[in-house]
Amino acid sequence: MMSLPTPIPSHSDLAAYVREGARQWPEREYLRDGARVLTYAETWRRVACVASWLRARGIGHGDRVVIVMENRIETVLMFFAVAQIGGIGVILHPQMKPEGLQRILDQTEPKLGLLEPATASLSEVFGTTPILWTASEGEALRFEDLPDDSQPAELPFPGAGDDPAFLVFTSGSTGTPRGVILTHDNVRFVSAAIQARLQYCSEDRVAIFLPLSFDYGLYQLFYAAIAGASVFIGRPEMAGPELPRILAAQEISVLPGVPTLYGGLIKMQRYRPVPLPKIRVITNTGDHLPQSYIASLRELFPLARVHPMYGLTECKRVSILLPEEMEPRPESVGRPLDGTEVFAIDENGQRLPPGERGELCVRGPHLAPGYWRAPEETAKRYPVLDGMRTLRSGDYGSVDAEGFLFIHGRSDFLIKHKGHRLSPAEVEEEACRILGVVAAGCVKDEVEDLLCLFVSVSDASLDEPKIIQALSAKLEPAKVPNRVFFLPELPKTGNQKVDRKALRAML
Amino acid sequence: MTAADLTPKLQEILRPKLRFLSADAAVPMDEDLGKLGLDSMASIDLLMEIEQQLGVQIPDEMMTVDTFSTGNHLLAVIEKLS
Repeated sequence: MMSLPTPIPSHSDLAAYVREGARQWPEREYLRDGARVLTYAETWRRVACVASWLRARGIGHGDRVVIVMENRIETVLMFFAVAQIGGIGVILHPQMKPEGLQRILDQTEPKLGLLEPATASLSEVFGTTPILWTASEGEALRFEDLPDDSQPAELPFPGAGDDPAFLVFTSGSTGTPRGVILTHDNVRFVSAAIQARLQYCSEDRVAIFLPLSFDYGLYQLFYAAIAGASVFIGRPEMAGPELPRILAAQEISVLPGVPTLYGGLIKMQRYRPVPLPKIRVITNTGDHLPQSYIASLRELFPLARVHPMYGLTECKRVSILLPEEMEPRPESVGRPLDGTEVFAIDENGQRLPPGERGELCVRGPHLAPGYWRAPEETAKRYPVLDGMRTLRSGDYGSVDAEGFLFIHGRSDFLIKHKGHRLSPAEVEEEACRILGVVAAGCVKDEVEDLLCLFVSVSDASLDEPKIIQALSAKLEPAKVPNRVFFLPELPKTGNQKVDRKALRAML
Repeated sequence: MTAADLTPKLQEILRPKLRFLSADAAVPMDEDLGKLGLDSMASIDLLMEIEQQLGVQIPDEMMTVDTFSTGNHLLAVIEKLS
């Protein structure tokens, strides 16, 4: 049988995952990136080297470091090094556009940026902020040139558990990206609670194909470290025809994904199956996992435990369903994490009895303190209800008498698409910047899984391909609409905003 | 089939999958297909269409991210197989 590891104490700083791992199981493999493999001990040694270098440069407690790279070992080393010195890491999507990056840099005012050749075009946006380069020749500051001591000094963690450890940027309700502040305590609590449900083992190899800028990808590093497991650092572009082969070659046993990844995997396994006997845990988040996918995954991977889950960055994870709980309630996304509470409220903010539908609200030690430098949005999203701090999810659902959660509809101001969370306001704003576009409304066609944009235009030569192409230059690929529809005028709500509900009805 | 015969056929299969490519532009063979709008799901359809329409089977060892990264990389693999 697989051995359950001694748990790492749950009240500690984030870098302790690596520090303690290096003490408990120094020789076990932790990170694997292509041909590069690092044990826990070697990861910690390198993290400590980077941490010392950061301190020597005057970067310390509370300072931000912005990382814009593809998933790679250096991302992970820098991330933990920043946590170790009490700094605040910010990992951003490598396909970030300059305009979006500018808005984030204005908010975070970093002391350092970390880039690589694939994201070099963003370096100008950093202005006078120093940039450390990875895998890049001829730059003054190179990751590869950092001091590499065989026994680096171990710097004490200078902060407290409720200090911010990192920010996860996500679409805000207005279209301006907002950084969710996660504290060391938030992460330690939620990771232990998640690991209690998912039970990663020391023999596991966990695959990360999701970008590390997405908390679901990032947190795999923590769950794996609690169990002493190893992590394969993959990339989103590996989730195509080559995915089954990579899973086999890397001997992946834990596969966290989003519905599009599973859709592709199912398609490939039906077309040209590759034996994947090692897969034992499959988890889904980011979007609703259709029943047909669950059935296919169970058929293709009969030994795997399939876990539908529900969460949002503002508290990381809300609920997890265990396979043995699925039978009588196949549509459920599971029970809330232990030590947390979920309930639905009506439109007046009153708590609803079990089974009734309303906006889902969450309480518990996993609630983030709020959004970085955005007190108004923080207060709106985290109100005090009945004397307790509460997260309003914006999603509509219900909680049954046994405590199982059901999602009935997503909110109007956030769209989940291809595993990404996006704000329709952001897409609409960009569309309205296109010369000749008068008004725009963005909605998702949930049936066809398509992002749709409705526009009215003053320039009759604008057509669907032109608008899609113009948006692809300004937005990350997942935020670019699949279809564009033209209307003489867009429907408006009473207070003159685009009526997205009316637009959805036209699909 | 020679490269000259294959290129237009491959471009024809590629075009509808490159959603960021303008309708009047030729399918560029050297550009990153991801940047032209090919996502992972579309690349699976691409594999199936290439195999069915061009009568080849891409072997396991060539099923890599690199193969599906540009039109020319795909072309080189298909040529080797046909």
